[in-house]
Amino acid sequence: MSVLNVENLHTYFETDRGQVRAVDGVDLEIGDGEIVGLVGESGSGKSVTALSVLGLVDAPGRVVEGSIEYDGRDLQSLSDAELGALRGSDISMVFQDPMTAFNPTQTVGRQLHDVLRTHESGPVHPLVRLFGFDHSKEYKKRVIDALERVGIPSPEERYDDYPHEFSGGMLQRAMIAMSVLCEPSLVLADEPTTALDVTIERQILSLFRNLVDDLGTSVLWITHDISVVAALCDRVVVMYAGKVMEEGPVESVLSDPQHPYTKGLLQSVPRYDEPDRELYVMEGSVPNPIDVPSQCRFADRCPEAHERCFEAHPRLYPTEDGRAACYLAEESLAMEEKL
Amino acid sequence: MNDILQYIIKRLLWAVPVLLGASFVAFIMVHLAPGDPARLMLGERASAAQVAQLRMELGLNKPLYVQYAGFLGDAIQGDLGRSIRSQQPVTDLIVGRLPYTIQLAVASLVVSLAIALPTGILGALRKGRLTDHVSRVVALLGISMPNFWLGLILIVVVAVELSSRFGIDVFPLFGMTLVTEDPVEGIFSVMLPAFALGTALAALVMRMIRGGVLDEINQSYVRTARAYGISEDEITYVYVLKNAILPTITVVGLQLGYLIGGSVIIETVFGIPGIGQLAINSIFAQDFPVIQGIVLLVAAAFVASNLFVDVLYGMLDPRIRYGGENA
Amino acid sequence: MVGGVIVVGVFAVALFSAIDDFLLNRQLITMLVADPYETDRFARLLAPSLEHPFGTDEQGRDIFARTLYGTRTSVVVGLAAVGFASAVGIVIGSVTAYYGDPIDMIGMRAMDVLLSFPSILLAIALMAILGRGLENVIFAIAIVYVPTFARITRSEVLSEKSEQYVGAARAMGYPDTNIVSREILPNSLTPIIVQFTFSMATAIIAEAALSFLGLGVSPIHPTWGIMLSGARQYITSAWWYSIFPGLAIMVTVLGFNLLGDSLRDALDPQQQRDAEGRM
Repeated sequence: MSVLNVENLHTYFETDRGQVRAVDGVDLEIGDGEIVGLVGESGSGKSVTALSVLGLVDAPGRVVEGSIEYDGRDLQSLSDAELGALRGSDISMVFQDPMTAFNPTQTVGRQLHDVLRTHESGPVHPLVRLFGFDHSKEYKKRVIDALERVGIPSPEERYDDYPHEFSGGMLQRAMIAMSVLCEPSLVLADEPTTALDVTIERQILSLFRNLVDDLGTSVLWITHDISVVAALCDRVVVMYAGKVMEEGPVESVLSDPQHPYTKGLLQSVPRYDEPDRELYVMEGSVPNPIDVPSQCRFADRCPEAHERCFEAHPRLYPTEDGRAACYLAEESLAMEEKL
Repeated sequence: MNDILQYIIKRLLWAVPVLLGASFVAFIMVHLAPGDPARLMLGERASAAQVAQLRMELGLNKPLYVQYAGFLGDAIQGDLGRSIRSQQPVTDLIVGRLPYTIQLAVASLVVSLAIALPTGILGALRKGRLTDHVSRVVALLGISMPNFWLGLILIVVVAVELSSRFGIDVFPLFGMTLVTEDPVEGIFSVMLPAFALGTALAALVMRMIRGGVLDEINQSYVRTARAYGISEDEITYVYVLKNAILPTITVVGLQLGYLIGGSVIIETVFGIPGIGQLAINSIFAQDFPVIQGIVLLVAAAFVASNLFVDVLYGMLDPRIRYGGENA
Repeated sequence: MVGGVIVVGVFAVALFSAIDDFLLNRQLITMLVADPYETDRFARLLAPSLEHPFGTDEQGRDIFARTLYGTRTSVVVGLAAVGFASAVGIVIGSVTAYYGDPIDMIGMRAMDVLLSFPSILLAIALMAILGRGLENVIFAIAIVYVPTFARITRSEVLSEKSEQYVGAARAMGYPDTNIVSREILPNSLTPIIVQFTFSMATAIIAEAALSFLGLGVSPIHPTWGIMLSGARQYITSAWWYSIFPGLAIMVTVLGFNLLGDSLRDALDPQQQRDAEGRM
């Protein structure tokens, strides 16, 4: 049973210079309790995919096509109020830079309190909130518990601290505490460790792993760092220029990538066990998202590109235990069938 | 809390030299004027003996720094000298006029905020729509209009027309009543002058608030709040508005100087017996001690209000306590 | 656009009245409208008509002609005061920024002191001491604007100072004055130009206010502030007398404000960069 099922998602931005196809036909499925890594370079459309799920794409962006099903419900047919009730409670999101993701003039505790209160007793009139009449001891205690659970020391005192009084790592812990406050069934984590240094990153990863094991939450982990995927995820989806290039179980994709782009991505990661190996540098750059060519998005940079690749972008073809958007995958599939 | 204390001390340390400088400027002004201050004060027809007598009384024969020290020492004790014309202590003259100017300035501030807050917020929330365009054009006109002219127009259009066409005489053409004497009359009599003085400030604050709200709306924390299902009303009126309005507090504080300076002119237009009218009358009467006293008092009040606003801002906005210089 | 047109128009009218007054003995304006100085006791306080489009004042002078002539004082005072203030402010700002403490500290405290007086009050007090007159008005208004330009120049120079090309110029042994005037200032001009335009707007209002209070230029000249001051007495009987000179101020000031807005939008590289970033 899958928690989230995205099919054929298209999210476009209408700009002065033309239409930017940030997400251009993405399929994405997340199973119960599964951690799915969404990997790609910046601008590949991975963040926009997550924002599209929650209906948070800002103008001039718009979901123009595709279906987003959460727990069997079509998210696009929900009213603003229904979607609001879902956000933060059933599906929550962890953002990249905790320093800007929190409101600088509200205490961290108060911001978590707002989330809990909104989903337990509903929104209040702004004046009620401004004068703090909505504040409850019970919610405060639960927020403190949540802060403690993510490993923030002396959470009672930190409850009244402002975001700038936290370190980056601690603040990201607080954000994670906020994301699991209402025990959601899905957390969308948008590069939550990119702004942190490596030792903190490892701590956050293991924290996440534990939370998922405890709560049974599914996670979409967006990253450009394939080593994080290896450490954390069950399945991986590789995106490039608004398209899914390859997907499958982490072990098989990382050990035996089918798509030339995935191969390049893996070879450009330094490895301790092969210190002498030369780092691979992919030629060229991500194509202009405006005036997208009809050819394979990766064809211009692909070392294995051939005639067909310049005719049309390939659909996803099944591989051994995943899928890849490459004619090579189709050809090996055809070969297998012949055998 | 320690941060706030440090911040306050820092601002106080800034205010002291500025106030000293301001007092020196007020002091030296009379001495910089062409001619002998005593002669200036007494007028052309005074005899040489009279002038010499006054020079002695004022201590004008002493070295400048001794005079300044004396002036400063007296000023700190609330003694600003005596008026040449009426012989009354300058402090008494000013204190007697102060309530009118304070009433006008406070009312203008209220008027300008009452206009600026809703229009600025609405303009930002409805950016690019009719409400926004109309309020921006009106704001531009408001900034471009001299306040004394607006005062004249208000007298013609509101006071005169209401009185002559409908027999409504609630807005006096001239003068002002203190609210402490008669609350109703006081409020009506201050409305037109306050509107004349407050419009330009309203326009300025409106622009700031509009810009501030637009800035804040695009901050990441708004997206976070939205992603966590916080209601749009709470996001707009609690999260965004607080952050957008805080920086405008400083601007409003700086504009208190405009209100005090502008009241000089508006008091002339509406015949209000405040500090401004006292200043103008003293100028035409060449009553320099009074002018000196007003300049010093206004500068002190201005510095003090800036200090107060800075400290208030520092306490309200947690970001500032770490910021330091950008306050 | 609109702002530019208004400002050009205002300058044209000012130039016209200056030439007409000094070289042509007011022939042109008399031919086109009326002599702004000519009194007519049979034509006192006439309402607007074809002959007197803006009506006449208490001495029977044509308000339209006087309003046109009044442009001159506003433009001259505005340009001279803001020009003087910006020149002094730029010098103070560059010196304080370039040499740093203790010059910086002293200079900026001095600017703080000037800013501790409400600007119009400072100008009024200065006029009280200096007495009426064109140069005095210019000086009194200029003093008020010096701190603004000093601060802007200082912050611009401070940020430019850290740029590489300044270090290069220093390393090549250029004298300080050359570095500041040839290298740094041209790169800092944009905000100064924008501020100049906005200051023109407020300086014109300040001039009118001083004239209105009877502390401006000599009352024999037609200026908008003096006209408004005269209009006060007839406010209930002759609305045109107070409306048209005020409108002239408003349109002129509006022109400078609009021009300032569009200059800022066009010249400000920060905003341009933001626009680029938005895609």
